[in-house]
Amino acid sequence: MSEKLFKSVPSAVIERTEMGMVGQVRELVRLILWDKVLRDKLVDNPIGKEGLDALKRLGKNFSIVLADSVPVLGSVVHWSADVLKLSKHDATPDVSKLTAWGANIIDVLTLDTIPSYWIQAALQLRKDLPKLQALLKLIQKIRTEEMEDYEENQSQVDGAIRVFGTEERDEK
Amino acid sequence: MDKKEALKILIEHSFVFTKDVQEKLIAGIPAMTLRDVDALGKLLASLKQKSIISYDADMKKINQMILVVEKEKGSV
Repeated sequence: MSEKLFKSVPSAVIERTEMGMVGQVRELVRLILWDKVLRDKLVDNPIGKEGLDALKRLGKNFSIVLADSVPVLGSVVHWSADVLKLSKHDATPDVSKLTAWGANIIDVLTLDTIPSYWIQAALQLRKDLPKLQALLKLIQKIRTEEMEDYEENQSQVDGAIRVFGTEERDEK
Repeated sequence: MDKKEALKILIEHSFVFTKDVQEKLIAGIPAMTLRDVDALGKLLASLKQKSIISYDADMKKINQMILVVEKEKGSV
């Protein structure tokens, strides 16, 4: 029953999302959400902010691609996303309106049997991947700098940590 | 090492604050009550410890993510 309800999402899209990107992005989101300090640092940095925006768009677009695979309801979600291109909530800001709205011709020609939103989502992803990579490298840099600082001053920092007794508490 | 000295070290090596806030906090230590010193010290010590403990695992994850994104960049 459910198989009939869903349109054919290209297998390449599923592979890239479910098996690869989505798993990694989920890890990244977990890492950022878990660490408030890291999150605040990223928001303060232009590369970090751009990367976080790209991450949000990726989540939004993935949800829309999935929703778009449901007949009728999917079209409503897809068209709503197209209308949002006129606002600041545009989930595909690097895709022109002509391309985004033009992709709807596929819906008409194929009688809405192909979830065409994946075209603009893929185009946006191509623009966002370098931003995500820059975000990851920034996180790597922040964490490395902190660790290098710790290693250079380890005895002093460990001594200070011991004064506040967290070591004993955490070891329990 | 007394608590105020330890707090100064933790503030100096904390990645939580901007340089500006760091300097203001260090300047304010002599006027802090022992209760405040204790509260801020415990917080910074546990944050530092958490960061040290999770460093290897976090870096492994980040490197793996960079590889996946790199691979995707070549195929999208």
